[in-house]
Amino acid sequence: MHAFGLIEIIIATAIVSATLAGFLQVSILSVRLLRAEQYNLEAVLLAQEGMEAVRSVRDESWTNNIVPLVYGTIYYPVIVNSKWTMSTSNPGLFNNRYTRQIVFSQVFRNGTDDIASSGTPDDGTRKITVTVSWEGKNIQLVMYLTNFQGQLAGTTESKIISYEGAGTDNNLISFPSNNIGNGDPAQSFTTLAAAPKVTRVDALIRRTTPSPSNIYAEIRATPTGAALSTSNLITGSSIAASPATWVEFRFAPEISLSASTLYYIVLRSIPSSTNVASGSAGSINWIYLQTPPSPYSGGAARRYIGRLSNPLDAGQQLDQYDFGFKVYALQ
Amino acid sequence: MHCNNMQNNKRQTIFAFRFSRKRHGFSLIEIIVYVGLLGTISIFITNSLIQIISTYQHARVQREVLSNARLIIETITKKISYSQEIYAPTSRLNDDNGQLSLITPLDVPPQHTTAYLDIWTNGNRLLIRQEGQETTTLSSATVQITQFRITRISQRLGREAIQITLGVSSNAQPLIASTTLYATTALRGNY
Repeated sequence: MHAFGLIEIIIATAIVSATLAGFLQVSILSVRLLRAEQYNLEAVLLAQEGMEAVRSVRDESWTNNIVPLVYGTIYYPVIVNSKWTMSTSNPGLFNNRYTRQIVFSQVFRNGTDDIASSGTPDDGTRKITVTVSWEGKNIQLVMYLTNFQGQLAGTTESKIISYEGAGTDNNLISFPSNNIGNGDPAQSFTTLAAAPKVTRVDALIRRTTPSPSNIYAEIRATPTGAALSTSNLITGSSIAASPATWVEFRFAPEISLSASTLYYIVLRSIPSSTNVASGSAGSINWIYLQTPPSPYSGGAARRYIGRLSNPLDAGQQLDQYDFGFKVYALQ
Repeated sequence: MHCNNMQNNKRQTIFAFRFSRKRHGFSLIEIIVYVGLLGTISIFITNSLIQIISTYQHARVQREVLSNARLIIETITKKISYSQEIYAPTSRLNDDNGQLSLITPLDVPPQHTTAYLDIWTNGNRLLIRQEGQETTTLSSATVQITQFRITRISQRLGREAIQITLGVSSNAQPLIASTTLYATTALRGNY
């Protein structure tokens, strides 16, 4: 009776512990596998996004964006001014884990026009390899990119009015103001003899702080009037810090403006720069030029519109000043 | 229980081997040893069981987060790629509690050519509603949406894309599982 107890307990314990250890191993393994699956999913999506970025860049312009890229060089897709661009400097890790790299390589065609490892170079096609790597592992996606849009005639827009001589880089506008409600800046322009359908406005701006408020543009008939249309929102931190760049504000659908009429391009921010303590953060410099009587005769710069939460405040017109701007319309 | 009959000596050889013939105090030591062993073993087994259960729960939570995140990102990217344009007035962009309004040519109500489609988060669940249809919840009750950020990308005239940052984490405390997914999709309804 007595001996039975002791030996039995030892054996039983051994069996039970072995079983438990087995179960534990299985569950630990399943957790580990799930984690690996999660990392894989995150990485695959990042790689797919890299592909989409390449296609976006191609859609913008094959000649300007794809042709200048050097074969074999590592590029990193980053969003600048609300657009994908291919940068050579590493933007850092995603989720503190992943690095995403894109390599463009040359494509050759053989006698039957198929893609081959050697033959005639095809300038209208690129081989894209997106690599996402983390903790010693990596996944790779490969795709061939073609300039098929070069064969298509799409709708085109062209620049109709602009002032591009601006070069003074100063904080003239205090926009977006740091919670002090300094209002919005604007530039007026006069449309030409033909009534345009405006699709886009560019402003020559740069950010002077790492993360200013997000901004957008409005077209108005008067400085304090209702917006005829509102552009897309530009992420403040995605605006180039230096030098100033032409940032596109898109209007979709296009705005029909009257011929030979004065309109205002108003830059606005979210949270609004017009309200005190709205949480707006600055600032952004809109590059300008001051010469008497005025660098651009069709309009003038204006600042402090709607300041101190007063929507009727038309701000201050700066007659001798003009901001760098471009207006595009459908052809 | 303890037989002291010397005439049955042979039968007891086996016991005599293990225990001294003088058995005073034996019962007490035996009980102490047994109780001690039993205690240790049951503590060990309970501990292991708790550990196994918690690991399984961890795995379950992780699986839920992962499958939810995958389903959501696939659904949204499909909806976006079929859409014609973003409807800006009701979209909440560049915000962790975003709302995305799209104009889509799919599943339109009778006598319409396009329909509005809203995808939004109430800070906890992700919801979707198409014009003329019921509101549907995309995420399950076991997870919460910690981030649904929409960034608009305007590459050029008629070439719009949307970048989505989706954060999904588990509801079950303290078992933490979370994932952040990025996806960019071009609106190809007008391609």
